[in-house]
Amino acid sequence: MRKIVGLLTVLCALFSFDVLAQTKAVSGKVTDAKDGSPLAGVVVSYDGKNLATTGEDGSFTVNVPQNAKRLTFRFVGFNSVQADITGGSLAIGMTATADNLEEVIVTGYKTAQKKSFVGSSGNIKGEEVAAVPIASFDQAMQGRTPGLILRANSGQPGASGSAIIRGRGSIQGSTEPIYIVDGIQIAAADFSQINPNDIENISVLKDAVATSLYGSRGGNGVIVVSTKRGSTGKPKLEVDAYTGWSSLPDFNDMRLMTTNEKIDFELRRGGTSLSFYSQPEIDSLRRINTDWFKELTRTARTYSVNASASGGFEKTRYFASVNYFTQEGTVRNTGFDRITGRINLTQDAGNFSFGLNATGTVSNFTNTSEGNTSIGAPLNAGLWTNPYEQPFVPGRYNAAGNFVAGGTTLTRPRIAESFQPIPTTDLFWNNNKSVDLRTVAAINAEYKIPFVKGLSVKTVYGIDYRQYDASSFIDRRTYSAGSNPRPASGLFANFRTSSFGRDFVKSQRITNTNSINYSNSFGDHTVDVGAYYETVDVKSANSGRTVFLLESPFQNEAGATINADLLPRVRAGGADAALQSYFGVFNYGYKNKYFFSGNIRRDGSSRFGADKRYATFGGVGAAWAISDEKFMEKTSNWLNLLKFKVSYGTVGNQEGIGFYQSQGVVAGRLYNAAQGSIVTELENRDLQWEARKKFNTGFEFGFLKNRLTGSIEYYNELTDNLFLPTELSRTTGFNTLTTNIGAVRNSGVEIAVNYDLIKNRDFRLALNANITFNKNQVVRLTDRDTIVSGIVARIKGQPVQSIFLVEYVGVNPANGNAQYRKLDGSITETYDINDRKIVGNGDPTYFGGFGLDANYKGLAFTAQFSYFGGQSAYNNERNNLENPDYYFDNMNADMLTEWQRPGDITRIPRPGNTYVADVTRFVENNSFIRLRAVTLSYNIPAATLSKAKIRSLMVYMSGTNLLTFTQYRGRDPEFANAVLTGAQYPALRTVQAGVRIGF
Amino acid sequence: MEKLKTMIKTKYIGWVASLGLVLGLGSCNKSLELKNPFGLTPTNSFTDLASYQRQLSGVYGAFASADYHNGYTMTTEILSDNTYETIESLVNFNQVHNWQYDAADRQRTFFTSIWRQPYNTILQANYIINGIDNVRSENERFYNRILGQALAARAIAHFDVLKGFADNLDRASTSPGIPVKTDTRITFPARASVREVYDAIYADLNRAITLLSDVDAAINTATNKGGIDVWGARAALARVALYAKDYTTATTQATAVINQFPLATRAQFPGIWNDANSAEVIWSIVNNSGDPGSPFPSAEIMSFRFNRNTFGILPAFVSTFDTTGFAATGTGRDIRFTSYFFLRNRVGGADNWALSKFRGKGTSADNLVNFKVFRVAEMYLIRAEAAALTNNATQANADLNALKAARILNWVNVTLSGAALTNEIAAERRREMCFEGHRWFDLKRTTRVVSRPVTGAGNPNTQVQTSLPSTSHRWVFPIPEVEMRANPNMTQNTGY
Repeated sequence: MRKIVGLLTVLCALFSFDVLAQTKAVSGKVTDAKDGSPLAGVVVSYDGKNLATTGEDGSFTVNVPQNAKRLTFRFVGFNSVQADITGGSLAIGMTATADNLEEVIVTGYKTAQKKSFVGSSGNIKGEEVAAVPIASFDQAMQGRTPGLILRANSGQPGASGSAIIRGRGSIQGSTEPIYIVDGIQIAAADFSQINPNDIENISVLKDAVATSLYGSRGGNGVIVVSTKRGSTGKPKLEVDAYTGWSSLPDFNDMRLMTTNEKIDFELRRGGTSLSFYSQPEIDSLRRINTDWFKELTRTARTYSVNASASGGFEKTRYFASVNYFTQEGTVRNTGFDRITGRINLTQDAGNFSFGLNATGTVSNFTNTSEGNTSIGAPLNAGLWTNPYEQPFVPGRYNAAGNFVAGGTTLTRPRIAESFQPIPTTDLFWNNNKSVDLRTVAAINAEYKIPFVKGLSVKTVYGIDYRQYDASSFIDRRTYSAGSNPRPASGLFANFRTSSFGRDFVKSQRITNTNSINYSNSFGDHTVDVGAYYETVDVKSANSGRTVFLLESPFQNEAGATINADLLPRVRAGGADAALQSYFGVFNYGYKNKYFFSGNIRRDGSSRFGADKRYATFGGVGAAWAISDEKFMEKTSNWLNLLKFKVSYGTVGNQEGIGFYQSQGVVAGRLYNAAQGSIVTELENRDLQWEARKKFNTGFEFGFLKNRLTGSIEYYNELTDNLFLPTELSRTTGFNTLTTNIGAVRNSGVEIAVNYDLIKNRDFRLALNANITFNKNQVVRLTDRDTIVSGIVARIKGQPVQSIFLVEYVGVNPANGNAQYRKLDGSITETYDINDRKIVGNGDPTYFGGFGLDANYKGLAFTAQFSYFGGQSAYNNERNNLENPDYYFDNMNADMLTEWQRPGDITRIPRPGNTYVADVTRFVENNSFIRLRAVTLSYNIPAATLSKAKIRSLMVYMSGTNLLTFTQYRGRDPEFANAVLTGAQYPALRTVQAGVRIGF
Repeated sequence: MEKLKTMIKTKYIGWVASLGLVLGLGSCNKSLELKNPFGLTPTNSFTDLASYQRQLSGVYGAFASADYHNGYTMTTEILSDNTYETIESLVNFNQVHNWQYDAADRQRTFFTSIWRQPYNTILQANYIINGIDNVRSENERFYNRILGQALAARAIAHFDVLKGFADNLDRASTSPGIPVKTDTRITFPARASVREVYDAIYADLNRAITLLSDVDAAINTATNKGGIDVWGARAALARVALYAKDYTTATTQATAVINQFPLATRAQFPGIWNDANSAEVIWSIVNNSGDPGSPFPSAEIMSFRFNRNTFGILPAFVSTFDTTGFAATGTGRDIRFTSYFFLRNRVGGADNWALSKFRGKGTSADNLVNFKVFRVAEMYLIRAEAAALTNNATQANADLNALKAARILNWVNVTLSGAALTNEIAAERRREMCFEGHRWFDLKRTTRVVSRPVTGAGNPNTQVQTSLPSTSHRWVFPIPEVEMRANPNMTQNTGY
């Protein structure tokens, strides 16, 4: 096949060959820069005319005009190379495009060679992401690239993490970067819909120049995902399958009370139900010791099968895949499964080229409520229900020690003696499910204007469409059913009802980018300019209803009882929003050593008032390849690359405010069976864009034949016109109004290093490490110096996530009272809110990852750690387990050391001492180092496989989150807030084994 | 030479063509003026009288908030001597209950809510009051009906803030009151004096009474008392005047309402509380199944939906009812006792008295029930108190006996005088209106004595304070720290 294509190319070349008077012959050989293997079919051209293609051995000979100085080499899947004609035989090394940003920003946008790129970006390879068995691919990026803070908020299968690039740049506004998949923006919550195996490369764009192509959307940084595409040659078929086992991590450095401990504790304190029990009843309770989390959790299984096919001719390339992924949650009755399919096509047709990237996903979630303090949430109830209670059997033990079932009447919820709902009923009898259908599709077309070399127009049109059906069944025997209405009359008068809610949501985001680009070189000058027009339209609509069910075998609308008391509830909502941007980008290179970039744009958003809708942003940047200078020739034996770069610019942000916040909202209000109106949001016509001013500078380097490579960068970003809730006088009827006040600065240093410690034919050992130091501070708050929001305070000069509490200094041994430190340093037993001070930062001050990659004759081992340092959190889970007023429920075993008599030295105050939760007692260092991913794999030698007509075969075992080192007293130190509220679903700890076959 | 020219020309065409293409695609300048498909804006919402009429749902909806009449109005009872905190409590209000609150307002932003939410009601009303004159000519008496309700609502909401956050509540008091808010703008107002606040409240209520006396259609029906009609406005003025010690106005307005509404019979009385009838009711917040927000008054005290009795009825208060015959027949002599309370049995725990006044409609036990803001019984008590304090013991005894006779089986009239009379009026007021959000404020405006003997059934860990000295600054609520911070013109109450 390849031969025929080659022949055609030669014919084309011949026909277009102009007869030139004086020529010279140039010959050479083209190889793959990666492994030195010859590349056949590479097009060799001069001055825009194709002259020849390379042969099987990569060699070529062409005739060019006598004065010709430079040849161009082009090959599908590789970067074009321009080589000076030296007079001798040319040795051309071509690099595959995946190694460059050029491939990363695939659709509709400019391409840049890594060397000439003046901006700041980090790269993550697709295979690093695919190796981590978490449904939401973003979570696999943790620790892989500097500047990216990625923390999971939940181990619930399918949940996405929280990403922040270069520090928290906003307070109320969004701090999440935007995610672009093949040129189309997708929502962060929907990552689980993307098949990680399809990902070729992820690029994290950070500074003002790198993000400039994404206009106003790029203020928080951009994460660009490009999916795999086919390459010319023999079709490749690959099948990958693995299975995994996950388990719930234990509490670190903490435990709950056992039955005997808890019963003794309650009896000592008195006042609870147990005080009314007889001794035999108490004794019978002591025989029960329920481990609630054992009841609620399991060793969960994960299965994944992925198949892909790719290939292509010179002008047509394709990639297609299908993936099935199913993951049980470690908490029972939670899980996720997904089927995705993808087709990526590219077609060249003369001056036109077309591309299509399309993926479709059907996924099913089953989840449980998390991140709250609701006593009905099973993940809370598992902690709080006493160990002497039993799953599913409410009731009590009688004087004879026999169990007497109680609570059978359906007018009351099933709850324990302490009025704490039993966790198992709410978890097993209630269901929260959603079915998600999703399509992300983009087409792009490019036309190279034939008359002008380097001039082209391009359009990208894409849609991210999602519809989902979320349903929730609440069994009337559970605590949660308490909010359901009850029939006032009839056979089931005053019976609790079950409820079934179903919500249908559809949302679409249509992105259209049109551009005109001109790219050319004149001698030492290369110019690349583009003008863009972009629109993004977002439409969403939802509608839902809840029906109520009495005794029925059905758990959906089929079982609904509809009468005057039990009318279905309906709800609906929706929004339209639009964004419009005009922007221009300019790149200039001189002598392939000096590079300049600039951009300017004008962005408009429907979210702002008519006067504030449009804003102008822009940026400039420059890079200098110092190592290419003549004066560096002496060092070229050890210094292979040294590049300096600097950039500055402004980017806007509009995320984080409501769609209609500037206009004010008058909503519907039902009262006394009449639908009227109510003002629910005050207008603020002055609301405008947040402005991010970004400065970036740094060096990229390569030493020792590029065995040691890396970069060091410094950034300083100031967000001005912050969206902030201005505290209003409550006499307005509202607490706050979102306004543009204040500024936040993030500055820091990022260092990334890769070192090929050993690199020979059989053995390769590479180390990588990256670290980011970030300083986050509030620079200005227009109205006041301090905004306190719960336990977090925003104070000028301090980090955005400053934890602001009174210092707890333990218990006075004499009387058992809690003691606090006043601001003047003295110790008091009286809590005073004016003694609050900053005691921690909810965001890390340094973070990163490190790992190693070893390969010996097909046997490979990789281990990747991630770490977050300098962060603290308020452990509200522990607060609720140590609140002495909650002694009727189960508690932290630390409470056994409660102060009881003078002289007791303890951290736990006496019972009856006024309990104040807002103190440093519950602030913990939740910095951690975690073995995020470890893989051991073996590639069966090709020689063995060739007989079986198998191209490649790999078997592997891997683990995720297997080790965690932290001081945090909980199940998982990883969460994205300064407070762990409660009902934590810890990150999955998984071991998996798999096989990958290529044909 | 010739060739070069052509080259320039074709190049030129290419540029123009591609530029045109991009500009052509880009010239369709999008409109970024997008309308909210599920909402209006304050500037386009109000166009005619019907639209102002609709906004009354917003006014009443703001009253119906869980931060106001459907919740925190009753939660103020936990400050009083009617309740104690049980072992079932999740202690979300124990600092409020134990009078340990301060400006920081750490528990469920209780004080911030009861400070802010009435102002939200005022805001909703001000959208009507400040705009409706533009469409007055449409229908004068319809205009009266809408504006009268809005003015009465604004006055009632101002008063509800005033009674909590001002110290001396006398009509002529020059001590700091609260800001009077008459516009919809974002402002940072200072506190007006108590007298100035009363001036505004009186003006609004008097105008409301005038307007509501001449309307195009009845606001309420015999069974549905969901709106503030002229009687609601009069009842509001009677209540305000009692607090203000303006006994003349209190007597006049109470008398007007008493003449309009008979007291419920003993047969009717239980039906008031489960909405079987609306005898005596002048205005109630109507709560229906499926209403937005939380249409469940008093859920913080006794939640039937979740079977949690957070605050029990203090035995010392239970014993003030005439419960003769209660144990034997289940129907005590005082009809209020069985309508208000029930004996709650707990598996493995002690039985205790709990609140059933807001149990639900009909036989339902789900807290979904109307919240009665004004009943005529209060008017009897207002007139009795006003009479007793203006040396008209005859009238006071007559009103007190009339109320007791309506409530207590075989009541034999008693004539009291002096302190015994005023004490009995207070005690009757406590019994009649318990858990409707009055007790704490009655104590505040009269004796400032509150004590709560420790009971055996409570959470021993949370009962840390059982009485509040009369001199305590906590009789006046703290201006929330958030308000102090936001509003430079605000002044804090003494002691915080």
